[in-house]
Amino acid sequence: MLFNSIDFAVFLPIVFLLYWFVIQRNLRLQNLLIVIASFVFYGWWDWRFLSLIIFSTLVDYTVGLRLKNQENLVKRKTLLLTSILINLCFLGFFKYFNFFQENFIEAFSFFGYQLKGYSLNIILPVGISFYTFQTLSYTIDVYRRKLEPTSDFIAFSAFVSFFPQLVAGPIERATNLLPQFYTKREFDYSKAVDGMRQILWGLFKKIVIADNCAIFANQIFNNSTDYNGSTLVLGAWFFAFQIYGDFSGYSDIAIGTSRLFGFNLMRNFNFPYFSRDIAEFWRRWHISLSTWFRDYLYIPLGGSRGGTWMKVRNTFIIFIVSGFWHGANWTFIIWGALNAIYFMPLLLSNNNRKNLEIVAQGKILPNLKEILFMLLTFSLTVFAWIFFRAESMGHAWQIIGQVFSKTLFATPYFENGTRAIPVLIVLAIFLLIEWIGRESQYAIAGIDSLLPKPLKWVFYYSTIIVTIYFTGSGQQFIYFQF
Amino acid sequence: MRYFLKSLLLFSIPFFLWVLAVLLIDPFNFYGQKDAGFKDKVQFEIGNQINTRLYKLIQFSKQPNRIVVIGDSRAHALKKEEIKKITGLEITNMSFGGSHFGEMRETFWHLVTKYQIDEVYWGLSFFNLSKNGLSGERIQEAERLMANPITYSFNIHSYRAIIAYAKYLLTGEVIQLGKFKETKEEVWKRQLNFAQEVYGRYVYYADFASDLSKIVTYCTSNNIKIHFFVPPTHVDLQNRIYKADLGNEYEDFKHVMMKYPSFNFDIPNTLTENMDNFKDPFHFTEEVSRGVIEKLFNFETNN
Repeated sequence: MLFNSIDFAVFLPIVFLLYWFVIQRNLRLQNLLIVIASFVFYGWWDWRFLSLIIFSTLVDYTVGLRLKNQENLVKRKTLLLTSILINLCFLGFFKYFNFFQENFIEAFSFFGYQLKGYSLNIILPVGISFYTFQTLSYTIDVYRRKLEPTSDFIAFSAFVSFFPQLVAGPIERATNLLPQFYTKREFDYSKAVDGMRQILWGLFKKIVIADNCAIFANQIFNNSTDYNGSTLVLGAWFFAFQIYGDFSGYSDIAIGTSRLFGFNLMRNFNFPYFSRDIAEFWRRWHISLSTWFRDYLYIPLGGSRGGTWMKVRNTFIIFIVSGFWHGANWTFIIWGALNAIYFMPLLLSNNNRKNLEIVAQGKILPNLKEILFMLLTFSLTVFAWIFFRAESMGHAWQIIGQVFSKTLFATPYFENGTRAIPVLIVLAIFLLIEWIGRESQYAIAGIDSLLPKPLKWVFYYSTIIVTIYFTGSGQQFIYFQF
Repeated sequence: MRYFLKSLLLFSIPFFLWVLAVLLIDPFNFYGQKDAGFKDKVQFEIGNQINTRLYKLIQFSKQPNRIVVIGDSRAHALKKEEIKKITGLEITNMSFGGSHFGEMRETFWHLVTKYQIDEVYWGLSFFNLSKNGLSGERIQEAERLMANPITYSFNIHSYRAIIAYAKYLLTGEVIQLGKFKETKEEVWKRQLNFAQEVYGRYVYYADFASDLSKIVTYCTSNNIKIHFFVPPTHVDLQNRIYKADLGNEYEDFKHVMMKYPSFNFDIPNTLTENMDNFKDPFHFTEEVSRGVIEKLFNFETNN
């Protein structure tokens, strides 16, 4: 079920009313309702893949319980490995089987051996990368004794399948989300209003920003051979805002929906395009994944504790794995590696933790230096997005070749280009609102203190009208494919 | 909790009122209450002008027909009344001005997969086949909007139609889209310039042959008769193809079309050399349309 669909618009109020009016007194029933609602939400797409979630839930629940009373380190490690292997095998099979097979065949053919492959027509289960990482966080934290394993199967199932963040995150830590299923949730008016507001802003980002930028990004990327360098750069800009609006919009809707049910999810985006360097960008973009890799991969690998070589190696590993997490394509791997390269000068000069606060905190405008660094970081990010968006490495090189040609200085042109003007205007207004609200959890979170009630309602109505006005083709969320 | 729901309800009142307005005015005839006493036909005229694709697809769902015409404004010029007068056939013209091949293809699949169709007459020209802008998104959008009352109520087209109708109620004015106050010579020149601009950036759609083959195969296996025709255009426009150095692509187009039952009206002859037969280089007159109907519906081919 898509957040921006009519199905969800009907589903959400039904679950909400049942949750708060019918079974509000019974915590276990509330959790059970969340499980059922989550299965309906996921099964709406393809009920067959519910079996994967159920199996994964059973495995990690059992492993968690076994770890509870197990003191033997070898046995504890075996249990942990069982969980990791089962989860990663599912992920590997559904997501990476064809990729590895094709690359093995190509590698062997390079040395003159012709192997026959069996390409499987595998459907990638929506959200598998997200819920796999979420359940892994549970077993790893239980193994590390950071979390007490649960014996409440319903609460654990609700944690694994919690519908607002099931298919595209934020990838929650068991330490944050699971305990919330143990305690009674009380309806909180201001939290619910804030949730609704965040849902509205998320829908605006998805429907107005992402879906409309997608029209031009797709047109330009899908016909990249027909366009000059400057148009391709414009296409990459459109894609940069498409993916930001799409994914951060999804996260806003997920977080807002959770708040309606009394849950607090972790923040996933923190105005990443206002970053002054790449390290800051990665502290602000897809935070739940970056911190997951930091805690469960980078630190176990030694983190920054070793010498320079170890820091460099570990940084490359997490960026490349992060790229590979996004999809079974060399384009994602190169995208990850490129970000690692961007990161290196900061890491080697110990400047990677320089910009921890939001830019121009407490000020209206940034200074010239900050503007230049933000532009530089944004440009580097946009360049890396070319790999992320390209269909193949060949496609990416073709685009880059065209970008770095004389045509970079030609006037951008694409069919129906005038249709892009209103989108660019809305994009500018959107960036302005994001800038004003950059010190809040999300751009319009602080509207309560900023505007009186009538003006606030005018703002909400205007946002809804603009969203309806710009409603396009209702595209799927990009991160569903990951 | 109750305060939250009360506030939400209060906040939603304008939306309920809007749904009510859409239900009453119903500019695209989604609810099909055509003969309700409080309505006139102006709202349909407005709806048709604002989004003809949505209007016509909804109309077709209310009154499906087994014989359809698909194409752009040239095919649209084959009026159903004229066709009935000449051939006695009841057809529905599902052509849209400004359509390109992608949109026609989407219309075709929409019709043949949702309704019982026996015959398709498809007007297609080389001009419709540039790779740029080949998506059928406007048909897909219309399908999405007519899917349920919520998408029908909350979209920019219904919004514009309701506002235009309100304006009509207040001022008596009906919107007129796409009307230019120009002389024929000015229109002629403007359209030739437009063609030159399009052909200057033209990229021939490489999958045209395979797409057409899929369509014809589907028709054959589902007992649908399909007839293609290339509408006549003035030689001034025909020559623009060669001026833009697209001769080879044009030959390929003709070669593909000739594989199937088709009639190419777009050739240099006395009809296409005479400016009097055209409103502008693209669009032929009513008199020419009668000739096209006679030939086309007698299943004549010149391939």
